Parts: sequence; structure tokens; C-alpha cells
Amino acid sequence: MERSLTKYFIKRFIFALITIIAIISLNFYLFRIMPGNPIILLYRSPELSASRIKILTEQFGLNKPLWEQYFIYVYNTLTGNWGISFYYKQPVFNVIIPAMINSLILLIPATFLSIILGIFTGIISAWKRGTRIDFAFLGTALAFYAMPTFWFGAILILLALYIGGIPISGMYTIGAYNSNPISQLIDLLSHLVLPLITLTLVYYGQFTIIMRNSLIDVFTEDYIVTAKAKGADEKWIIKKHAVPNAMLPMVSIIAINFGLVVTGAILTETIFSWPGVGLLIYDSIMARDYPVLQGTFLIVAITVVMANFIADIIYARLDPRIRYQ
Amino acid sequence: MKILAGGENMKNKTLIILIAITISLLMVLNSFAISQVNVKVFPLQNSNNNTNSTFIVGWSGTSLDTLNPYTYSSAISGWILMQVYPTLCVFGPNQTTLHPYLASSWQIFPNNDTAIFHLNPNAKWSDGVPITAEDVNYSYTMAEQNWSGESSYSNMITSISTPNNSTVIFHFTGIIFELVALVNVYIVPYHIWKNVNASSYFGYNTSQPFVSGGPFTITKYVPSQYIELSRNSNFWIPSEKPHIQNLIFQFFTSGSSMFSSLEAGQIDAAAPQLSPSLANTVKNDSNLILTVSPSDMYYYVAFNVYPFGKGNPTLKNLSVREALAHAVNLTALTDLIWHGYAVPIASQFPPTQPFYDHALQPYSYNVSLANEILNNSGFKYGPNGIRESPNGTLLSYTLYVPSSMSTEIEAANILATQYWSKIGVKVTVEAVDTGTLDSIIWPNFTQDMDLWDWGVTLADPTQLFIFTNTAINESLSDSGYMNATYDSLYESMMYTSSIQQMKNISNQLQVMLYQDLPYLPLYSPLSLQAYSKKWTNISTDYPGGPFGGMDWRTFITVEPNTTSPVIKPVNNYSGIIAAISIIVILILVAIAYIFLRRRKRDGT
Repeated sequence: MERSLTKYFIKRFIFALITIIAIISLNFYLFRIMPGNPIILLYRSPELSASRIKILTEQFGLNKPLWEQYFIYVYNTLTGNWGISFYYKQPVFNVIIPAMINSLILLIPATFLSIILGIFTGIISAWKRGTRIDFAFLGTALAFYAMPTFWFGAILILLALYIGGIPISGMYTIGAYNSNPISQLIDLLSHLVLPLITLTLVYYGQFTIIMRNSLIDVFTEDYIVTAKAKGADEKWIIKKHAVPNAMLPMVSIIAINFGLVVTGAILTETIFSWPGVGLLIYDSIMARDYPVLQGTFLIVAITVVMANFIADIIYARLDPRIRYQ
Repeated sequence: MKILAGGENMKNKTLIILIAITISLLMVLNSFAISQVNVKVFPLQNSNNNTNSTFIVGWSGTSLDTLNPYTYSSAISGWILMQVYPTLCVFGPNQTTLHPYLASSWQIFPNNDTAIFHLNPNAKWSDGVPITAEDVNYSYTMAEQNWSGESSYSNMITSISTPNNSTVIFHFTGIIFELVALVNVYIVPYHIWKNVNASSYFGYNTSQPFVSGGPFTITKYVPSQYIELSRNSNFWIPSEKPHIQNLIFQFFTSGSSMFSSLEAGQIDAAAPQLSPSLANTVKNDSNLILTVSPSDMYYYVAFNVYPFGKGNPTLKNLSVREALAHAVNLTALTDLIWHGYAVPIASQFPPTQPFYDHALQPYSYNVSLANEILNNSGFKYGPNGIRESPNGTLLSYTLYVPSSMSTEIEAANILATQYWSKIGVKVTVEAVDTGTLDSIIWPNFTQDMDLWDWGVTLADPTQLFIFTNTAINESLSDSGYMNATYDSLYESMMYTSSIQQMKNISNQLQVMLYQDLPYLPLYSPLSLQAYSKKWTNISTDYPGGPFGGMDWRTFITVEPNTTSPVIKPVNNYSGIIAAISIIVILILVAIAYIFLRRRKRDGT
């Protein structure tokens, strides 16, 4: 049994590695097939002379043939040199990492809370299916899920303005000098309130729906009927038999969601001016900042692939049948 | 009352403990938050003491790209550099009069293309080192490098000499030097910059104190969030020392989010441009002041007239372009889109530009005349109600607009549906991102028309370069207008020896553009900004407004308003406490629930 798990692990790992190698190549061409010249976009100005365009083009290495640019990119990527941002004129890592940390601060708790909320409401909804509670829970989840993020964020901002005192933008109170880490943490938490509520409520609906449907499927299984026939307590059946089995489809979606936390949340970050990676991607696309786009997408791709890889392993642990496939 | 079993009692005890923990936690959080309100939060904004005040400007324009004065391209970078580095001279509000700054006096000899500048002997950097001719020489030498953004101006300088520490002699060609080169080149400290690679240096290094020669110095920069500047205590012009202690630029990605922060009192001013609807909101807010100033921008429709272009060939016919111009009620369009916060224009400058030819008037709105022009030129109505040329080409065009310009998309739709459709011209509006628009236009000119904008240098007429043949290859001309007479006239303008001569030629060039009509100038919006009534002494006489990046004195004069009451209450954290409380309670209830269930299961 363990041998087959090791074999399965190696197989999945090789697949993940091949995917990452393919992504490295795609990552290069994906942005270059986008229409537009980064030099013209960055410096649309009458003062931009032809000689300066030439200098900048050479400086950014855009004068070289595409195949040569590709090999330079692959070599640099593998050696950890991800280049200099066309727009920010700083090493790509220095641009991406702070933005990514900011996104993680927002998205990890939001994803975590939405999963807990989604699973909880999904279980209740499935347990009370067909009742008013089910309709209320499912209806609320669907309503939040369908709600445009920017609109919901704007509503929360209006509410915050009405209440007063809740920061509505940024990560920290600008101009305030936090003398110790605790006050700094409180300041950060206060700025986190609105974007966190927005993301949690918008995200949790998907988990509710999947959990509810999965659980309802499990309820029809023979072992559940048997347990009921044996007179087992209903809550005990749900917790010990139904929920663990219903969690299998959730594993994938949770893993993917955690993998995607590094991509940021562009709309939420925009409306609350949260300086995360979602905004960075948007700005970089607008400016055709290839090095930043390549770096960001590579990190995102690797994270998602690794998250899927981990999900596969967890899946195999949870469901022994997977290992023999 | 229900009698509880032993297990139930235990559960209730656990619950009580958890509630107690929750309340204790909330009390701790509350005490921290209250201490923040009373002592730490916004300590500077609400003080009436000038020496301790902080002014926070919200910025929702293009992101800061670098703090290197030779490689920056974003407006916010230029505005910040203006606060920390001196220039030889500065422009007054009219953008034509030069005032002393680092240079206390100067003589310009156009006849022998020489300028002599005498530096202010008191000038010194924030680290106490004197600002000398060596700094000026180094700065202009860097500006002349081909990688520098200032090279197009400073390459008119043929040589620089420094006979002593306080005198700089420039030899130059052309009058443009006088107008622009003097004010555009920031003087940086040579003793700092000689240790860095100027072409790749970011301009700010956290490992060492920033050395400034302007009224402020940079103290903190958090990318994508904010940049903090503090008053330069060593600033060498006593009368120009800022009243405020700190100046912070907070970066926003959404104009509406920035405006909400202004309303909430979390920032003090909103820049660089409010939408007309937000401007109307400011008017009704008793805590805010709206500033309305001329801007450096204008909008236009470019017709593809490039002889080798691939757009609809009928637009190369002047009669068609004239008919299109006469079919538009520019005044009504401007009012509809900008709610009275823009002015219709007839030339390729904003009207406040000193070189704008005010003799030109927008084409008259006359639909009958427009139809007559098309009829007389042989453009008859086809079966679908769309006119066609004598050789059967439909007057059907695509008008591209950058997707980021929501108001201009509306303008394009109005042009298409309310004006041009009335003369039998079909126009389809397509909003695309600027990168895509860029590739549609250059190098093959596959578009028919585009509606776009230009921000203009106000001090000189170099904007007119865009309409030269050379500008086509440099991806600046989006009409592909080619006129050899225009090009030679432009060249002669650049080497005139007097401002008046330059203005005369500039007018001739504008008339040529007006008559040839490769572009239909639409309107120039006014700069709309807002600031809190907590502040005063903010001048609005510079183009671009006090927060548009052109007024270098805004943050020198601004000071807390001691007479106007602050109507908004001091920010308190009751909302935060409530929100944190809810989250904490939810988490603890969830933990309690799991815990109690587990106990019950064990019991089972």
C-alpha cells in the first residue's frame, strides 16, 4: 500500500515539474503576443525622441530577436535573475515580493474564514435540506456569491463612512506613528476589516454550495442508510460518516483557492487601495511591464501547481482508491 | 427550570470561560484602540500647531515609477522631485515668467547663444554641504545623456563651464533653452550621485539619509502605499520654509476610493483630477473646498490621413473631415460630458497655453452646411442611409477610445449617435486598452479615427512637433499627417531668437492644422481637485491646480486653518472595535461549538 503511495507521489511530482517547465515557456510568449509596445506606452510624450526610444529598447533588451530574448529569459529565470521592471526600474523581486506579502495578509485569512463559513453553512444547509433554514443559508450564500465585488465593497465603504472611524483604504494609517508592534498590528487589523469582510462574504458561497451538494450526495449512500437503520444519532452520522466523505471534492477546491491567494484580489484591492499583487498585475499589463508580469505569473503558476500537487497527495491519503489509479 | 446533568454543567462552564475570555480580549483590544485614538492616531493632522502638522495628499494618477530625476516618467515622480531638488529658475503661474531659485540672477545673450547664471551663495544641501556650480554642471551633464528623459531639452546646450563655485556659463542653440531647459533639470548633489550609477539609480536608498536641496526631504517610501517627506530644516531660503512639518503622498488606485477617504477625513487633498460628478459632490460638502483651475490637457479626435495608411480612404478627403467638424455641436458636447468643467477648443493646446492661437474658433455647428459639403463632394446617401463615395466606399468608420477613459467613451458615443449619424456617417465606437490602440495605429495606421488626449508642456510650443512627419515614426502622430511646409516651419520655429517670433510661427502652424483638419480638437477639461477646510493658504493660480504637480509652492504656503472649525469628529475606533468584536465572537463561538460537540461525542 505505502509503495503504491510513493509511486503515486513521484508520478504526480514529475507531472507538476513538467507543467512548471511548460509554464516557463508559455509565460514568455503569453505577454509578448499582447498588442502594444512597452516603450511607447511608458513614455507617451512629445519629448521622447527616436534616439531615446532606441536607447530604452536596447536597455530593456527588446531590440534582440525573440528567440534570443527567450533563451536569455530562460537562463535568467533558472539562475534567479528575473530582471528589472520596465516601469518601476527596480529588480522584479523587489517589486513583486512586497505586493505578494500584502496580498497574503488579506487573502489567507479571507480564504480561511470563507472556507470555515462555507463548510459550516453547507453542512447546516444539507442537514436541513428543503427547510427554511436551507433556503435561507443557500439563498444568502448565492446572493453573496453573485454579488459584484466592487459594488459590495462600495456599499461597505458607504456604511463605514456612515459609522465613522473605520479605515476605508490602504494598509496602515498614513501619518500615524505606531510606537510598538501591537499598535501597528491593531492599525493593520483595522484596515483589514472592510476588505476582509468583502472577500470572505463573496468567497464563502462557493464552499457552501459545493459542501451542501456533496453532503446531499453522501446522504444517499448505503452506509448512511445502514447507520440510520442501526439507530445511530443523526448528528453523529453526519460528523463521522457524511462530512469526511463529503470533504473529498472540497479538498481540490480548497487547495486551488489557497494556491490562488498569491494572485491577489484585483477588484477588492482596487476599491480599498490595498497594495497587493492583483493591482500589480493589472498595472503591469497596462504598462506591458514584461519582467514583472513574467515574474508574477511564474510565482502564481508554481504556487497553483504545487497546491494541486499537495491536493493530489491529500486526496490519496483520504481516499485509498486513488493510489491504484 | 431545567435541571442540568453533570456533563451539561461542564459544558456551560466551558462556555462561560470562553465568553469571559472573549470579553477580556475585547477589553484589551478596546484599551489599545482607545490609547491609539487619544495618543497615536492622526496626532499631526488635528494639531493647530504649524510646526507639527502633516498634510496628506491622495494621488490616484499614474503610479510613482522612480525618484531618479533623469529617468522618471510619471507625473507624481516629477511632483515629488520638485519638492526635494532645486532647479536654476522656476516658472510663475503664467508659465512664461522665470523666477530665481538656485540661480539668484542670470544674463542671457541670445545673440551669442550664451547664458551666465550666478548661484545663490547661501544654497546648501540638507547635509550642510554647499550647492555649487559643480552640482549644476554634473546635473546638466547627466540630463544630456541619451538615456535621460531630459536629453531632448538639454541637448540644446553645446557646452558648460564653471569659472568659480557660484557661476555657471552655458552655451546653447535656440530660444527653447531659455524656456524649458532651465526649469526642467533638477540639480542633484554631486557628492552623493558620484557614488551611484545615475542611469540605473532609483533615486532613494533606505540605507542612508536622503540629501535634499529643496524645501522637503524624503524620509520614508513604502512602494504602492505612500511616500513621506519632512521639512528640510536646512532649506536655504528662509522665506520659503514650509509651514507644515510632514507631507505625505498616499497612492490610490481608484478615484472614488480616494474621494471616500477625503470625505472620511483620512486624507487632506485629492489629486490629480476629480470626475465632474465628484466635483459636484464636493460643492455640497461643507468640509471640503473644490478647486477649479485650467489644466494642461486636451482631448481630440484624430482622423487617419496617413497616405500609406490602411484606414477608410474617404477620411483623406478634406471635405469629409470638414463636414464631420461642422456636424458637431462642440459647446453642447463639452457641457454634456464635463458638466461645465471643460472648455471647447479650436487648436492643439489647452487655452491657457501661452502659445494657443486665440484667433481660431471651433468649427461652427451647422448640420445643413455639413450635408451640403458632402453632397457637393459627391458623397450621396446609399440604400442603408449611409453615405458613400463616388467609387462606392461607405462613410462608415470605427472610432477607437482608450477603455480607461469612461467619460470619453461617452463622448465618442454621442459623436457617433447624436451628431455624425445625422449627416449619413456611420461610426462604431470601440473601447480598447492603450496598448491595443497603440498597435492598431502604429506602424501601419489601420484605424479610421481615435479619440485620445494629450498633456502638454505649457512653457513652450513643442506640442506642435506631434504633427510633423518625424513624429509618425516615433509613434506620436496618430493621424499620420504629412506636410513638408509644416515640417520646415516647425524646424525654423525651434531656432528663432525671440519669443515673439516663436509665437508668430506657432500661430501659422496652428492655422495650418486648423485648415487641414487632420485632428478635430474637442475640449480642454479644467483641473478639479479638492481639499479639506482644515487647511488654508492654498493657491489656485497655477495651471493644473494646487495639486496638479505644477505649482511648486503649494506645500510651502499651506498651513492649518485655525479659524475654520473641523466639523468632522476626530476619528474613533468604535467601528473597528465592533467589527473586530464580531469576528472574534464568531471564531470563539465556532471553537466553543466544536469543543462542546466533541465533549458530547465523548459522552456518547
